[in-house]
Amino acid sequence: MKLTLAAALILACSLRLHAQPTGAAPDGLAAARALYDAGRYADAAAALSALAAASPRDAAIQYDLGDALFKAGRLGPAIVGFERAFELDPRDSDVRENLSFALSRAGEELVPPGTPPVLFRLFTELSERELAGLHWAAAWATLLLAAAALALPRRRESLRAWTGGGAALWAFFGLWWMGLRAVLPPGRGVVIAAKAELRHGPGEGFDVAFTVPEGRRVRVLGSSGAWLDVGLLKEGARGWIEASAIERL
Amino acid sequence: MKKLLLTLAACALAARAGAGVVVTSALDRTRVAADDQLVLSVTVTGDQASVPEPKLPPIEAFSIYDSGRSQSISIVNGHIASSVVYTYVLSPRSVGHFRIPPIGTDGAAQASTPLDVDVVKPGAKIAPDAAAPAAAAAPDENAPAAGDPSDTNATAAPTDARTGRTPAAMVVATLDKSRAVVNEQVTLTVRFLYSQEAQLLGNQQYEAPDLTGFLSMDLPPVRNGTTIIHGRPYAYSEIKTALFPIQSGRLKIGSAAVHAQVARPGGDPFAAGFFNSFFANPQAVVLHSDPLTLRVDPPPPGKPADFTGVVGRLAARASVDHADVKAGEAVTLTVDVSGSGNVQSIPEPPKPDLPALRFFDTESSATTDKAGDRISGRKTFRTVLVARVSGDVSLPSFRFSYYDPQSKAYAVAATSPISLHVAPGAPGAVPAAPSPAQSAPGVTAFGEDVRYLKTAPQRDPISAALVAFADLGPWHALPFAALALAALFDWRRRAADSDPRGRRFRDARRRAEQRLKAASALPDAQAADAAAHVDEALAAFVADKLDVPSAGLTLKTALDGLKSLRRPPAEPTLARLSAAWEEADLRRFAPGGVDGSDARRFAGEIADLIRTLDQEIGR
Repeated sequence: MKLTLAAALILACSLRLHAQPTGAAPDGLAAARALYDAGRYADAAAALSALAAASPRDAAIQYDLGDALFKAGRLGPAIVGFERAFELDPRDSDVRENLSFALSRAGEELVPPGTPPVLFRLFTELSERELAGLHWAAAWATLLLAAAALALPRRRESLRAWTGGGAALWAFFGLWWMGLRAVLPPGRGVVIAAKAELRHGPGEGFDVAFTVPEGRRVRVLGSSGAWLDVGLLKEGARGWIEASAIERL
Repeated sequence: MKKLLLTLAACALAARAGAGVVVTSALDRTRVAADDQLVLSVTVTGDQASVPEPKLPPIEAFSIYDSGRSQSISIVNGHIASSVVYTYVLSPRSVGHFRIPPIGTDGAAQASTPLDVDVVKPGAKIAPDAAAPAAAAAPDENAPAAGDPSDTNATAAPTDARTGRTPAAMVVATLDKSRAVVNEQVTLTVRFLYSQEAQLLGNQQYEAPDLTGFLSMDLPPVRNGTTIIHGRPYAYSEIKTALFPIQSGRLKIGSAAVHAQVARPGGDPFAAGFFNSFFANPQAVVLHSDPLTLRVDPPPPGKPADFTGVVGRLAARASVDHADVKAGEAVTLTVDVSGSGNVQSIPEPPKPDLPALRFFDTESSATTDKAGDRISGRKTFRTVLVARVSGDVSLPSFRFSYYDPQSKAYAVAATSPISLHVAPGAPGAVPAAPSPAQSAPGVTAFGEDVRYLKTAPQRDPISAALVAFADLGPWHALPFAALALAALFDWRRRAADSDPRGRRFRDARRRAEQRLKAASALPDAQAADAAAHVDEALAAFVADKLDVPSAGLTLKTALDGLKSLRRPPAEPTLARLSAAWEEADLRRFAPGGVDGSDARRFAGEIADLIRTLDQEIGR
């Protein structure tokens, strides 16, 4: 019992340590929104950018930042903001709408071609971190129930059913989590330069293979100095681009 | 006349390359309403047959439509002069004062001078433009009323004042109509008439009239025939030209001229007899037609917003090479516009605003038909488009507004909508982009906008807890460790259950200590029971170690057994055991018994002895 209490105490402390602040300074937020309402989009974006740096897990601030950047004419960084908001709160209809709208301006779609929108909607109903949390919660439940079943032979039969249910949930959320990571893999980035040139190699000495419009999403596959090896998620093409032209998600 | 044209062509081919080229530009006016249009004429002249095209600089304030070109080559006294007029229609994008920068060509000796233009709000009163080119029209207020005798569409055949007869040779120019609207076709006929008395020598050279303010197209072939004017027979050669006025007002068509060689018999060269010509010296004469005036009206009010100035009658048709496609596959959209009028000047229709489709650059081609001396033709726009997503996509109709001079009304030629059935593409399929240079910029213009800021953001505590839980990091090893511990515990228990002798051996001390603890806990009044517990604890410990029944175990058997163990106890320990065994028996079975405190002390001694034995024997 003492061991259980100690573990619970440690877990609770750990949760508090890991929990990120989700509320930005109200005054700063109000000031940024006042700038936005006044049409000073670049100033609003600067203010929201500072707030987003202080509260990177706040989906609303990322969304507002994307809005201000979009209105300021910076499509690439705006898509970065909307993408981050989408990762944090995919169920928010405003986030989906604005991300889809901004992506269409960059020649992309939120829903991958050939994917039924309803299926994509269900698949992305939970964020990657939420799925990770559910996966780990199911894992904890399954493992602790299994341990209890081992330690308590007299209750083993009744615990076995619960353990099986937990294992099924663990597998379900684990597969979903892995699938989402495959669709929205880590190492993604967005082109923030006006018309970025992708070359055949990491340097100015290599020929330009093609150009990529601002806002196009890429996957960073490697790097060499100030150059990134990127693949275009939509076209499946690959090339080298200056790192300053990409903002990683 | 055929010889004349052949001479012109030969001279044009022989023209020197690289001669000086001069570019001039002119606007039909310098002040225009924002909803009206300007006509920019760029004239490239040079002393060569072929002059380069002008390079138009970016003019941000206007949308520019290419309205065509007209070329004229004149050969005067063996000197070739080529002039090409490029006509552009400028549609203002905003109100203000703008400057059209100098326009040049590759290798131009002289670029044009900049032009200033004021764009005013729609409906503002625009004063007559004094800066308009002189070659353009006379002001409308000076124009004669309809039916004015000067509003001629033909020049009467001149008559000789002295003889009252028509001359032996003359040039007559006529128009098929005296009034037209901007961009409406007017046919100019220039007829070179000559009688038998003309005594023409050699070839004649034709000099086209000044057609500033018009876009012109030749209407071949040269027609020859005979006619009778005022009772005098004439042979004639006739050249027809289609004219499209590019500005409103009273436009002048200059004199057409024919350079001819005639016999000089000493008197009237055209009145001499036939045989005189064999002996007479040739004389160069130039015959001119009378200038003509055409009244050009601007397009009437009520023009559609997408009207680009086409006058005639159009029909439009759109098609795709295949309507069933997969996402990512290319489809060629073809839009055909055909009809009468200057079809070549029709600009590319705007691409529909469809996020589901990606449009690439449009290529256009045009064919011109001059049957019946009426200009007609077909313009074809081909656009490659790629479906971005699966599903049914409807391409809306493409509209081409025009002014029909016959019905005197604006009309629209519209294509039928086209349905595309887009199936899902292969995973990872690369869209058929023609090339990076041709690829669309990837940005589609929308009338929509992003949604507004988050005024009341929603915090989801369950989501926050899940995210915090997911980020525990190494703490996620805890349940695995718990399971491992439980598994280890279970394994040991199962191992013990499978070896009862070993388990009895290992648990001997624990059970003995439990008995001793129970004995110590008894009250003093039960000292005898406590002594019995102590005695049994010692005997049971030894029996457990030797795996024999404790009942009936004697001291001698116990000592022998302990000595026979793999790790026997030390002799002093055995001696302590003998003494303790006998004392325990004595305490248990002696008639006087012992008091309670002494029993607890003895239990402590036995416990210490058992610990020593357990350590020496091993577990």
